[in-house]
Amino acid sequence: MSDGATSPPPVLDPGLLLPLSTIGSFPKPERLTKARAALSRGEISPDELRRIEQEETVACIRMQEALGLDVLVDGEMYRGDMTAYFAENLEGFRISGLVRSYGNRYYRKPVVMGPVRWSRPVTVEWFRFAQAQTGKPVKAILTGPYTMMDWSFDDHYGSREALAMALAEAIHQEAMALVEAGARYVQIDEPAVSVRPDEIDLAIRAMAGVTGGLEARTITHICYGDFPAIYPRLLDLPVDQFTLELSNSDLGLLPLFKSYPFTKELGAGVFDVHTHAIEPVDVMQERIRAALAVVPASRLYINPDCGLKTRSPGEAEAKLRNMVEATHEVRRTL
Amino acid sequence: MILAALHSNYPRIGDRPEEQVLRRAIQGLDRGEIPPAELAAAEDEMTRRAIADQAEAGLDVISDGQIRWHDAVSHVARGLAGFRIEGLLRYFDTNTYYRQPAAIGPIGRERPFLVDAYRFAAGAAAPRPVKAIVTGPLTLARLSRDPLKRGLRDLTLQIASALNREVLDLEAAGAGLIQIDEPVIARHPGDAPILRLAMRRLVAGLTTARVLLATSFGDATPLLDDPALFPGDLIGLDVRQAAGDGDAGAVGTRLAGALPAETGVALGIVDGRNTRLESADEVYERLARPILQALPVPGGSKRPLHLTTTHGLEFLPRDVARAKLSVLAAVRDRARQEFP
Repeated sequence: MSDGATSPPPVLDPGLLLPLSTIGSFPKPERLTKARAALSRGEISPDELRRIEQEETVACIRMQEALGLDVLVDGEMYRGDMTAYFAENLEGFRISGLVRSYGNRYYRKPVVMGPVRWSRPVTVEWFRFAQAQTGKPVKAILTGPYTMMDWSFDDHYGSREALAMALAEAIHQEAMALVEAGARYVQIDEPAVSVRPDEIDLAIRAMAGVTGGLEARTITHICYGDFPAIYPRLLDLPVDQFTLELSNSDLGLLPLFKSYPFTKELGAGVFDVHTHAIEPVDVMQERIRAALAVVPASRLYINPDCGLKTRSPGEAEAKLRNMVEATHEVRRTL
Repeated sequence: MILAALHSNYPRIGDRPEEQVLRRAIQGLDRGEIPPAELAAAEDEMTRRAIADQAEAGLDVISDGQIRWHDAVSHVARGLAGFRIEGLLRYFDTNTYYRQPAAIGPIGRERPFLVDAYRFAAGAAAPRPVKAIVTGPLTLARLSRDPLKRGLRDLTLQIASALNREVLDLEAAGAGLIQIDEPVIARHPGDAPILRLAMRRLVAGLTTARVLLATSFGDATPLLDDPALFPGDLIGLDVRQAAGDGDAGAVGTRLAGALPAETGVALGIVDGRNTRLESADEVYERLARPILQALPVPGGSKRPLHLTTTHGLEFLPRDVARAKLSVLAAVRDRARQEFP
């Protein structure tokens, strides 16, 4: 894999308003899905699959550049499920059979069988590869310790806190390795945080274990949960920015942010990632303006509700194109 | 006689290709490649497999595994009039989701929506009995959006009235046991008076079918302090959670003291949420035996007793779910030996 990150890592123009980004995953092209199936049948080598993953990563970066996004992601062409991927690459896990996530979506849920440890970089080479393809900053994406804990079966620790804190240490080491490799934006996804309000303190402690001493802009992504039960305590998660789903809830989170000021940067989700419908530009503009009513433009980022891997490539691109156009329209009025 | 039963749902998929027919059919329908009848056939096939797994394990009361259900909330709301199905929300503390219903109009039931599936399962499981499962009105109301501001009490009661028609049709179709799933009650014990009123409406007119009010996602045993709040012929409880690390016998004593002698209990004893496979001996000695010792048991009373998983098993991989059913059956066998 080539390593082009020798010049200073790119960062956003500080004067840019409403920076555009995504949550992390992009749809996997059919070519990649077929290649994975071919690998499992022994018809191609791991190196051949890796080559295809690299080519699709480059294509994903080019698409983001062409659309006009500001903070790019590698698109996660080499990852499957967000929890299983890290479980496969940390010590202490095995991967179970399929379980349902929702609707017709299934994943292989990790099982903790022994002490969790970070023994080698997991995503660093992919970060380097992606960053080398573009002059725009690439955001590194990790799955957070609370979510890794909550979304795994535990056959070893017998304590949610002990497992979460062990994971926090492992993910902290990965985050430090990413920063060492030049990452200036590190997103630690914690979708499970909104599920158990009584454990918000544990989630905060675990996140502190990850972001403590990290010299990067830190972001967390949380979605589809009981936000009123954890707000405003949520703001104590030690990160700079929250990317949140606003569209799926029909902007239902915004009144909450009027009740108590949203004091951090907000990455506002302006389209639903679970519908085939392509929301029109004017609908997305309205959502951006609604977000501006609770967070000033200097602290507002624009993104989809969640990762795009459940959409077809065409749907994802069309939704993103409208998101970019809507953002440009609103920027002109600021 | 002590009976063994799956709590409710069961994996709709497995690792073997033949266990993935439903996933492929849904994808095919989504892409317009197959007609709806082919999807229905795949649902039938996976329902038969869920029933076969239970029968092979030796369970006494069969669930259809809720294989056709999109999720526990929207599947029932879609069957009623007055709901619009909206965005995804996480289902309790799982990493599964449900589509949230919004109660946008008068709640009613125009035609049966669970009866055909019950009939199919009853035919496939015969001669073993099948329990019909309905998500309860309190849970539906709690997990729905209420844009017309009806309030929890009124919305719950309206849903109960609508579901009453479905429950009566299930009985008419031959269901001898109807399980009402109310997972929210353990987390909202203050809702118990509303639940009591709603259950009265829900079961009004039933003549032969027995009703099992099933709880999950928490310890609902504190509600037993006022058993009048718990209408139904049987009550389903997660006694594994109720016992925690303490003495399960105390849970049995509390049940014996609180419940009328004829009220049955479905004891959730095999963990439906984690892959760790308990041994039958472990479950029996730590949970089942101490509780059964404290309760008047069949032979000595009319109290129906079921041993169940603590939740549906859909949260587990199929191989683990299958193994859990075997553990459950083995615990039942030991219980029958000691408490014939």
